[in-house]
Amino acid sequence: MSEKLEVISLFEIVGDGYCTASEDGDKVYAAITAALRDGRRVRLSFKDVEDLTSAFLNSAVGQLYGKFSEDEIKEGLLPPDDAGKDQLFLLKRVVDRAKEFFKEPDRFKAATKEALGDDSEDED
Amino acid sequence: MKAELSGLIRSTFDGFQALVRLYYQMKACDDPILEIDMSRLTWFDANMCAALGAVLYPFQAGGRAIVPSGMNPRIEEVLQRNGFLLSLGANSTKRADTYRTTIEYRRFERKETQAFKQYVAKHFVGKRLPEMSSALQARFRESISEVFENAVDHSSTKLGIFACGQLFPRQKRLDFSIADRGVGIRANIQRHTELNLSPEEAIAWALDGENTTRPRRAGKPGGLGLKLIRQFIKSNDGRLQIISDAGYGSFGANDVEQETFEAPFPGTVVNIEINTADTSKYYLASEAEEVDPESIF
Repeated sequence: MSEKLEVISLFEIVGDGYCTASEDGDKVYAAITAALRDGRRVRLSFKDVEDLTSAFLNSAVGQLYGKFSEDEIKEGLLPPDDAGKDQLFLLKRVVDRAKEFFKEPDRFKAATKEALGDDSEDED
Repeated sequence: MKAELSGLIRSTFDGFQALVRLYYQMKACDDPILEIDMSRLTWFDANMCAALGAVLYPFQAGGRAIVPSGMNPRIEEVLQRNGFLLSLGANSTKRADTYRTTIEYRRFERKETQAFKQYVAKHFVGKRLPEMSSALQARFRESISEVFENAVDHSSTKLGIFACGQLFPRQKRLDFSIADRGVGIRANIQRHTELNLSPEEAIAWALDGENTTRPRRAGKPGGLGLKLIRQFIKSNDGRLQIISDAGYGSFGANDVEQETFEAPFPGTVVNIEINTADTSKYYLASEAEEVDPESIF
């Protein structure tokens, strides 16, 4: 990993301080993914974020653990900037849950038995 | 043919059962004007307008006129105050919320997350909620928005999301309902898993923090939506009710009630009931706990 750094501002990507919708989280996810693929390290900036939900963070950060290894993420994502105590706590919860979700697919499969390829729910 | 809504409609199994019956009466009727006889209706919990709106809206959207008749003036006043009658296109004005007890009835489009958040921020002020730290207050509102997001994500509905609430000062409770006309929890689980659960089992399954129906393509972990609300409600001695398909689940601090309607409700309703007599002050557990930014990922 090179030392190139990209600060990704949630406020700038979402367009305001309401980081709540999973669709907006997807935009952040796309930005992080592009940066990591490009060999840049990423620092997420929570500056001016007023509201934050786990739905947003699941999309923005949680799903990274399905795309990259834990080591790659640890290496590529620097500690976030300007995150409040509660925002850090929520981020940590989402990350811990995502690691569990993607690390133990069998356990989750047993629990959810998700049908492969059935993605019609997201189509409309 | 007239449909009828009668008796006491409260946020209970019987109340929701009455809305299920209303739905099937209306569905069986082909008239362009659907009259609902309310002359024998003696009480209507205003938050139930979310579920009622979810029942009625598709008929309206299909070009049918919904005409409530014989309504008790006290009920009419409540339904005017929260804007429900206006939404039916009834010859109605919207009364001022003099007592500050109303969380107005609204239908939101799927994309209106921001509008929903503003609505929650506006209407949850001054509703006698137990004292909360500002961090918890923010998280509480976010959690309510997550219920909305979950309804959008999981319901596959294009008919929108319906919300309404009411503070009942004498009964010392605040009820807030979010309803959708989606496929329901049971069908959603069946669609994404191989589990064929009963409607009540499906509700219990969805409430388990470990379970999720997030589509595999999206590959997002989920399931955090109701966790904080449930924890809060447990401490607050409130109640969380989930109505989906033919299943009814009511989850209190120390009791769980699960029943089956005589026919499926055409969607899902989440009703959050807060005990406003609670004098405790609430904080987030995280407020007593430091998270090291260096060790998050």
